[in-house]
Amino acid sequence: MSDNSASSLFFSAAVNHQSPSIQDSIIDSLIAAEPHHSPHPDYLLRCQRRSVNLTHRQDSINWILNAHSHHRFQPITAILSVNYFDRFLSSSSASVLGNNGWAFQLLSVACLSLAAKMEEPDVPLLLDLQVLESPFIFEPKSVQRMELLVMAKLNWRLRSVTPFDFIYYFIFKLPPSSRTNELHFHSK
Amino acid sequence: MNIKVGVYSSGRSISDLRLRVSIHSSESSLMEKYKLIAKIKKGVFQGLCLLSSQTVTLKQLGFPDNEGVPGSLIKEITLLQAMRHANIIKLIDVVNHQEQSSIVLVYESMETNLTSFIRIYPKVMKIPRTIKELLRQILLAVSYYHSFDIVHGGIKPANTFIDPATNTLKITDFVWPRTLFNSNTEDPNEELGFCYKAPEILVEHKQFSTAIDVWSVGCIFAEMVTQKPLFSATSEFHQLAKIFSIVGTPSEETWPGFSRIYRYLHIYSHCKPKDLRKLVPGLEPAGIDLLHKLLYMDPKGRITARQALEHVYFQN
Repeated sequence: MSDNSASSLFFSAAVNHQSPSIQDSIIDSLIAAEPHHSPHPDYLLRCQRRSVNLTHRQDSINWILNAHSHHRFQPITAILSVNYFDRFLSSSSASVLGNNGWAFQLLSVACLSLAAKMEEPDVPLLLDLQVLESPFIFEPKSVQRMELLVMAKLNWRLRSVTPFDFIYYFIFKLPPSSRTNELHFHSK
Repeated sequence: MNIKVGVYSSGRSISDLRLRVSIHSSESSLMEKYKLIAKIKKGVFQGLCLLSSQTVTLKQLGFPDNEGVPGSLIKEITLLQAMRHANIIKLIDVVNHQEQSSIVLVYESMETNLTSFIRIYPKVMKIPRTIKELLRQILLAVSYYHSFDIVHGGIKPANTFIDPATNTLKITDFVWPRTLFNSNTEDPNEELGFCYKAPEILVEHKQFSTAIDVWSVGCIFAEMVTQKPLFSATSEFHQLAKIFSIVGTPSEETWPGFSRIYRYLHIYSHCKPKDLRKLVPGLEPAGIDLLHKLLYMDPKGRITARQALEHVYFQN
């Protein structure tokens, strides 16, 4: 299997096929696949009604983003972590978390770990991943259990369609003269 | 750093236990969804989906629990999960195995592989159109893998299934030999997989590519015509000599740089390529030409699966 990061899946397929009609069919499949990689449609409503614990969610996402920048992960890893986190929270399994801060923390660690394993060339050890200040640290066994639960709830659909997939496509669609900025864009 | 087992913070380990119990109860059990019918080989079972009454193949994968679920496994399964192709056996479900660091992959099940298909329907296999159609489907599956930069690495008749009713062919990877976590599911009694290995794999050249699958397809192509393996050596050790004896020992012209890749080349006697028309009788000239290109020794010069699909052999 290729060592490339997982997010390049759709793009590499797009590049390997040269014809524009196939590229268009790839954008169609991206759009079709997007709902399978999004939180449940009523999630926003439940957030507004506070049936999702927004304080815990905000704390968790802050922790994910802090850990993300501490480990100098790529932008895609942050997007995927939060995507997994929200999709899990919007699923029926979210009730196992209850109102426990530590359970949200375990979910955050599992989501960041999964995203890092999907995208990062160097994945820190699970205890190193948790170096940032948190009242809770979990043993790898517990994290593994949570990882498995998250993946089961996400139907193992971890290759989420993200804005990056679309950006690649739109760059590809640009006339060749404007594509000179592509490298510049990549380096950002 | 002060790390205790479970949750570090006073009195929290009880909560961790509680979470484990609730995770446990929220996992749908394997046995609730599938019934085991028979063991196929170590770690691989035939089963029945209780919901759809569909026959399935179950493959259990275990892994260590010291660093969570291994990243390579996550990448591989999520990729298999994302792939959809009419000529690739579908991964239907992934089920967590309770209390153990293992998961069970659930695949759609097919009964007849190419080896048994040839044995059961030798007359059908004699029809050139059947061979052409089956080869086309193998190449479609392989070029799909390759469009994602995936090297299958284990294409052989035992991994190639055919539905006799429709002649639909599907490749499977649940005996994927390169998968890190199922190295011990390889059955010694299983069909000799090395007969389909490309020469660059046999010399353990580290920079192998998608071209190794194309070689295997070439071997299968010849086997579909003659109904026996083309390079049937008695052991993996003799496999390379067998290949050289038919396709010719590589020289600086046929495979530039090979003597540097493989320093034992000098122990092999120099063989000239044999006439494939005599070894694979009955195959039309366009088929022989395609076979030559699939079994091209130097992986750099070997045809790609995509190119092979456009070969004149498939034009009529």
